[in-house]
Amino acid sequence: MDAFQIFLNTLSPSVLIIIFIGVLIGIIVGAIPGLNGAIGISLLLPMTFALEPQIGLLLLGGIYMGGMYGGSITAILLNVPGDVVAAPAAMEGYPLTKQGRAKEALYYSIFSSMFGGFIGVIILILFTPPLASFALKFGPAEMFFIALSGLVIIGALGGNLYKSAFAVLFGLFISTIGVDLIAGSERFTMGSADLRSGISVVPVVLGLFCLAEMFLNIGKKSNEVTTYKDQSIKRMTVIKDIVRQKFLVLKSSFIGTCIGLLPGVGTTLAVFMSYGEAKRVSKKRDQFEKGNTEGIIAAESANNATVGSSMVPLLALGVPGSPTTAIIAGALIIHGIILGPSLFVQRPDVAYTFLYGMLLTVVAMAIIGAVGIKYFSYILKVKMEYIVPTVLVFALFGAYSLRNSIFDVFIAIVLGIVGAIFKKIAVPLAPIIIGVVLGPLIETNLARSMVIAEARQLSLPHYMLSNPLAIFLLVMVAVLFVVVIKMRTKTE
Amino acid sequence: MKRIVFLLVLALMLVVVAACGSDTNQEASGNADENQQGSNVEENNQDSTVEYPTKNIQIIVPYSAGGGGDTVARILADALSEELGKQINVINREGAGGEIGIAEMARSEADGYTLGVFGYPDNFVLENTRDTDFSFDSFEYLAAFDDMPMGIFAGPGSDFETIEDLIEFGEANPGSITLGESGALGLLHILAFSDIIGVQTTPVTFSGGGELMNSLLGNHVDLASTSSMSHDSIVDAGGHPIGFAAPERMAMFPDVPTFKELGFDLEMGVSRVLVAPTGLPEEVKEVLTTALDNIGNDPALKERFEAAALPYRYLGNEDVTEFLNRSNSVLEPVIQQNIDRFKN
Amino acid sequence: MVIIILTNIIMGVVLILFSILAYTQTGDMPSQSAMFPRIVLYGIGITGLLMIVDTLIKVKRGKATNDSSLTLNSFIFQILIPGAFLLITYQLLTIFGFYISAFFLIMVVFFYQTYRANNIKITGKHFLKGLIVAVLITAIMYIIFTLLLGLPVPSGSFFR
Repeated sequence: MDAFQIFLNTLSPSVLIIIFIGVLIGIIVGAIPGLNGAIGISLLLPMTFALEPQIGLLLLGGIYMGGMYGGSITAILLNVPGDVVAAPAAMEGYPLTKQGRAKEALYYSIFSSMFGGFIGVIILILFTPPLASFALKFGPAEMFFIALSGLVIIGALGGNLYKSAFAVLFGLFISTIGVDLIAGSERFTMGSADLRSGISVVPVVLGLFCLAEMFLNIGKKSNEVTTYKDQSIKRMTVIKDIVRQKFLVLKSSFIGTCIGLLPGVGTTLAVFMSYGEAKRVSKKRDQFEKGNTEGIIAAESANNATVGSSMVPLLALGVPGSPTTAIIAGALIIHGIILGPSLFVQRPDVAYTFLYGMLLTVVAMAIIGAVGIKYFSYILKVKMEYIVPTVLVFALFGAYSLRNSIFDVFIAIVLGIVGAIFKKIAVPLAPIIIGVVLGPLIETNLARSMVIAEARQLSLPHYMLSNPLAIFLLVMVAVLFVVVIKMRTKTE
Repeated sequence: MKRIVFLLVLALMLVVVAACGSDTNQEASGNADENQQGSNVEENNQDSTVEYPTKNIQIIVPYSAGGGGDTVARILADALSEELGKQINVINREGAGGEIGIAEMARSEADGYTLGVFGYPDNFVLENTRDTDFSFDSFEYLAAFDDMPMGIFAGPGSDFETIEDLIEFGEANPGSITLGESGALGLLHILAFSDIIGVQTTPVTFSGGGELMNSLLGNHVDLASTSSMSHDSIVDAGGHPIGFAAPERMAMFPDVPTFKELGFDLEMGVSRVLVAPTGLPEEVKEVLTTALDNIGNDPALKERFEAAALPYRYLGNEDVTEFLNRSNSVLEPVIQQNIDRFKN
Repeated sequence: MVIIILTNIIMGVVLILFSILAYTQTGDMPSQSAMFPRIVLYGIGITGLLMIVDTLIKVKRGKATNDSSLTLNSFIFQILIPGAFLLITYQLLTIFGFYISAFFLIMVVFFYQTYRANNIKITGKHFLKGLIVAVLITAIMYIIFTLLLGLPVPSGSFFR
């Protein structure tokens, strides 16, 4: 069977239907606060046992792709990111909604997701082997520098300098709670077995972004609540504008692709990095967090770009780099398919159908999104009295669903209260999320570097800078640092 | 003033709603009991004709979805639900290296509707190295399904072809060989392995299997300690196994030597067990063990395991208990010797 | 003016106290584990200190701007009371399980918000409306999560 034949097979009705179903489920679970693509995939995992492997895989791939987009819908319309990766979409999209430009924001979101998704999957199809070996070059030292660059980019986000610094440190502190990953000792657990497994990022996001936002809505008088004005905008206008900013799209997709390749780093960092970078270079920097479409383009194309690239190490090396790809690996394992370079030789039918099918998931996402936006925005006509309780109970459910843990519900509630206070005293919330995500990356990779350096009888700097990639990354961090400081002093 | 009145009314309402909720539920649950099992529940128990299962069953897995333990649980849920004619849901309850989920299994009610699947000896290592809420006797071990030895693997282009290379280099450079692991059993395996070959090594902890693989294949660590399940992916990417801690060569990988035949008496592996909390009613246990024996001895289940690269070995209720007790007595001294490595 | 100085300085003091308090907890940790949290806590303490100094300098120069909108009124009605609702719901969750608690939360929040937004008394009509909304949302969640998806929800100790 040659590649073209496989491509034609991908276009069969049953495959197309499965792809549409997968993407639709993905968008729905993505849009529900707390539920995300990973949960959707683990829900439908048993169903794939009965399907042919490539069909089952595409179902999961569709959920993955759709889930990356779905969170942005609720983020833009209600300021409630359905998923962690949609947090920047809320920061830029919701202000637009308040200006009556909800549809415009939604169109920017879906079409940027489409471009990002396409770029990610095309890279997956064309460059899997070289990228897989590139990803292997990232050892503990290189990962440490990547995490540092994520920390530096926070400086580009808005807010009072000291309050931003506190926010990121607070996030880092949250990440240290629990059994420490290196030495196995307990930190700040106060003897609680639940705290031993640490605080994961999902309840933190639910609390800070979702519950806190709803708290503040509860108190609003009805005349403070924005009334929905429908400003019409043509789809083509938005697409043309995105195409005009091709540099931004390409750069964001590139950041998304690179971060997506690395195991254990996660999409959250990719999204915030490309968002921060977009703000850093933007000519309309002062409009950020007041509704700038550039921010939406950057964040949305980055998160969908990670979908394709995170499959690279999975398919080429059998290295699942994220919870979602680990579940997809599980689905393959049950079908007796061995992941690694020989996958493309032994089971080309599965591998290539999956690759081409992933392109179609992007198409399906774009169609569902572009058609659905009209209906999504009906949410705005619903009165706040109905939305607030609904979002609250869904969020509580979402917090529970992540690990089936009632303790996570408690964490979300506590952070909801904290988040509402922070909002009132102008402590920015996004750096907290970045801190929670980066804390373990920085700490464990530094600790690993120390252990390996000692074993090799090298000094720590000597080990960490022992190859060109690491030196390059360190230089990049330094340059980024200088640039962000300059940008800061200019605005203040 | 208005506000205060309102708040009082609200507080009152809270109480009323809470009370109503509890009332209706007492009734509801009472009704459900009557409807489902008739009013003679107690008699039923004495007659030893307990109807089981009458509702859906859940299997708790203390790991995230997608790994080996999760895969085993899902295959079992599928097969067992066909055998028992009830839906079986797999619930991932990960955290703290499996501790959270295993503790939850131990806490749940012994009625046969909550079962658990985990990789022995995770529970045993945890209970001996941490202050856990469960012990080995918290569970009724119903069956074991696979026997997956731990192994030592080298990355692509590694200088360590055989175990002799490893010992030679390690004796000349104590502590300089880095060994990656992700999980308590992986660490235990490294410690026992280093002890037995008499070489001082440096274990490096990774947060997950993916990161471990990436570091091994990218030569950021010299070796990795992981289960035989990773064999195919590692070999496919240019790495190779040094040996398995298995009693004899595995049927799946006949070319990989065991440490035993190399002259090192080291056996360590994962065995996925299906458990229920202790105190399961005899009748329920009877139903479950019969069903498990039926599916366990069915070649179809063996095929599904082996397709997923899981070395199948079924042990029924009595065999598994005996096997685990024997294994505990082997593991305990190893854990105690290295206890400070775990507790730091 | 006074308020700005107060919130920022109080925040600085809270940060310093928090970092000292948490720092004492790192005492029993092995040095390898304690390193990273200690660095973070130093950072929080220093940030708190800088925040106080910065505010005082700005006030002296008359450049202080207000970025805080926390008032006693908003604290009570937008944070304390909704927070209390959720904490009560959490307690109910551990006892009665998810759906009953969800039903309770929807009702209470609906009434509270109707009252807050329109500043009107809750009449029988509102009560009926809230009841219908709560039943509807809870039923939809039950259908989607429990019946269709078979997802586990918190069950509560009461029914064990």
